[in-house]
Amino acid sequence: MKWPETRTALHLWNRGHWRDYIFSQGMLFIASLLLVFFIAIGLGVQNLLDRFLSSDLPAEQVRVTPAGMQAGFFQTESGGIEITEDVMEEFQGSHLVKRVDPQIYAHVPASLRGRLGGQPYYTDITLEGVTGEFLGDSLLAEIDWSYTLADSAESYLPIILSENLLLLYNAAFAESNDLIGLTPDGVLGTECTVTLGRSSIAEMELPSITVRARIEATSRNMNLFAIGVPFQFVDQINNLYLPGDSRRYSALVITANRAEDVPEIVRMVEAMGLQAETRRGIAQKAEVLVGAVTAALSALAAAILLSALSSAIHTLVMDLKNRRFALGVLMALGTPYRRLAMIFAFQIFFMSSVSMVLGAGLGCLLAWGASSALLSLSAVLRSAVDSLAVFPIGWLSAGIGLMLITSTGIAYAFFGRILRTPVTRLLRP
Amino acid sequence: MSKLLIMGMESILESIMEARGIRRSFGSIDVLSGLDLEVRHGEFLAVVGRSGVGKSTLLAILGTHDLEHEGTLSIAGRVTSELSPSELAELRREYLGFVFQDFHLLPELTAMENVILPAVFSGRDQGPARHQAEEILERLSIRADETPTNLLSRGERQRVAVARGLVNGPSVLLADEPSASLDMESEQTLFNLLDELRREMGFALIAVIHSKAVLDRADRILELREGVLHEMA
Repeated sequence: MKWPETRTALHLWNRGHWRDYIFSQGMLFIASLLLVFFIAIGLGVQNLLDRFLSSDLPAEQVRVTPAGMQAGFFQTESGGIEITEDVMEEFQGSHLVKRVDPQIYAHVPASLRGRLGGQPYYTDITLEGVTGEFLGDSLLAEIDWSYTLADSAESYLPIILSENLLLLYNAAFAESNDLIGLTPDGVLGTECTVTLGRSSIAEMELPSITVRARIEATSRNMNLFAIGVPFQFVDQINNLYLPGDSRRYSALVITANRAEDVPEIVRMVEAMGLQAETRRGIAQKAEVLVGAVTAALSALAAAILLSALSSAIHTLVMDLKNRRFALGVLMALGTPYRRLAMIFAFQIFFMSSVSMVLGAGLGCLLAWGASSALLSLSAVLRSAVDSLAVFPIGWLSAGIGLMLITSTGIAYAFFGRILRTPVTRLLRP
Repeated sequence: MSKLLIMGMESILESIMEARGIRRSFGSIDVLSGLDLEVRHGEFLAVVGRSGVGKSTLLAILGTHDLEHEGTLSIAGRVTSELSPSELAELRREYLGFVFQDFHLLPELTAMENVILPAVFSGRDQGPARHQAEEILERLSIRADETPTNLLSRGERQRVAVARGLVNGPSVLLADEPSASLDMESEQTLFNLLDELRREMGFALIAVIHSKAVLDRADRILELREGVLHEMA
């Protein structure tokens, strides 16, 4: 094929018909733009959900909580089975269980106060006593997790901050604190004060106690407003303010001898009327939610893709129908069929490629722009993911390629049908 | 088979085109019923007949545009029914020129572009094609400017159509009422030129003609009547 002649042929063939192509190519442009945009943002949202819904609970652990809703001092609902000493002893006696780490709420009001990044903050909190094992072996070496009121003069109360609480701050639910942009790593080492026996909504009869504290770790396995502190400290506070109360645990973290024993332990927990949470269970819940979001986004992208593609193909086919006569003239004058087909295929393929690549490029830019805008508006998102747009080059190329082949293929098939039509029929008005 | 070879065989081949037993029906109506025709190199055949008798159909069959007929058509020794679509296209390009009744020009293109269209789409070198087109357009008194053909007069368009039919140097030029839109003077000018070009290029001219003034120029006058051709004195 000689390029100058081909270029002239294309130039002559399209003279006065460029406008006809604008719509079809515009549709392909928009189709590829939306496809790329939705794939990029869809995958970004998936990542975000994965991040929010994930748990750092090890595979061999089961987290046991009471059936009723509870949030320490802010108890919203009670009733059902509570986790008492007897319940814990029953788990400890099981041959499937290696270890039981209890968690306990301080049943007294408390608050956290300090400065972060020059900004003062204040939050009503619930203290949740956890054992050193809760932190995991790697952290145990660095943090002295033994603390009682007697140590308050010399040392800081070590704190594990709930990452969910950070997310709430970042989502600006605690407006007066103006604490956005916090990350789990960023708050480590922050010093503050914890006041016991008094909060903004309640006060105990005994005078309040304030101790110096330091954020030593963050965790995704803690309740929303709970702040993890040494178990014996909470026990001491409960005994101090509520001496008659019997010990009730907020949660038990059961470590099975083997990961395969976890389902049996879950059955045991549920048979007792308590709630069991495992990494697999959390992952399954996350999978359902992420799957639903993915399916919705995919359906939306597919609907847009189909409608745009069918419009583009329809326009291309209509354009060819309108130019049956011109094709008839060319065929009557002895233009080789193969050359006509080649020129046409080249034109459609080239134009469609340009439209789709430009559309995909703009789709990437828009996805990136949308991601940047959302991240700049919401620090909760910024703290969770680096970007809300993910660009899987392979998948995007495959999607664009499929659209390109489909649109060119269908238009080419229709063109082939015209070429097989008798010339006299094509020339008929 | 190359055109040069065929041209070299002209002395051997008596005719450039031969039709035997051509039948063509549209539904129950027989338009052509066993028509025979032999066209010799360089001759001018005038086809006459009443309106609707099938003159255009005959030209479409001879031009290999209409393939839905019975009988045999040979052009330059090749039987058209035995050729593939690509070979038929090549045959048209190499041996046939066509001037349609309604010109069938592409209205957005200029005269020059319409004339070189077959050459360009065939992938031939544009240079010689343009040169030849300029020469033919000049002889037909058509300006090779940028005016689209839809802005030309009917007579000018007719001449552009003739130029397009001749640009590939055909062996047979099929013309369906080529002077229908022209006044008597222009008609004479056109046929003077066609006679001149026919002598130079050696193509045979098969033209559907109504004008008696032109019929005198024809080597043979064939009347299409009741589906067959009758040679008139």
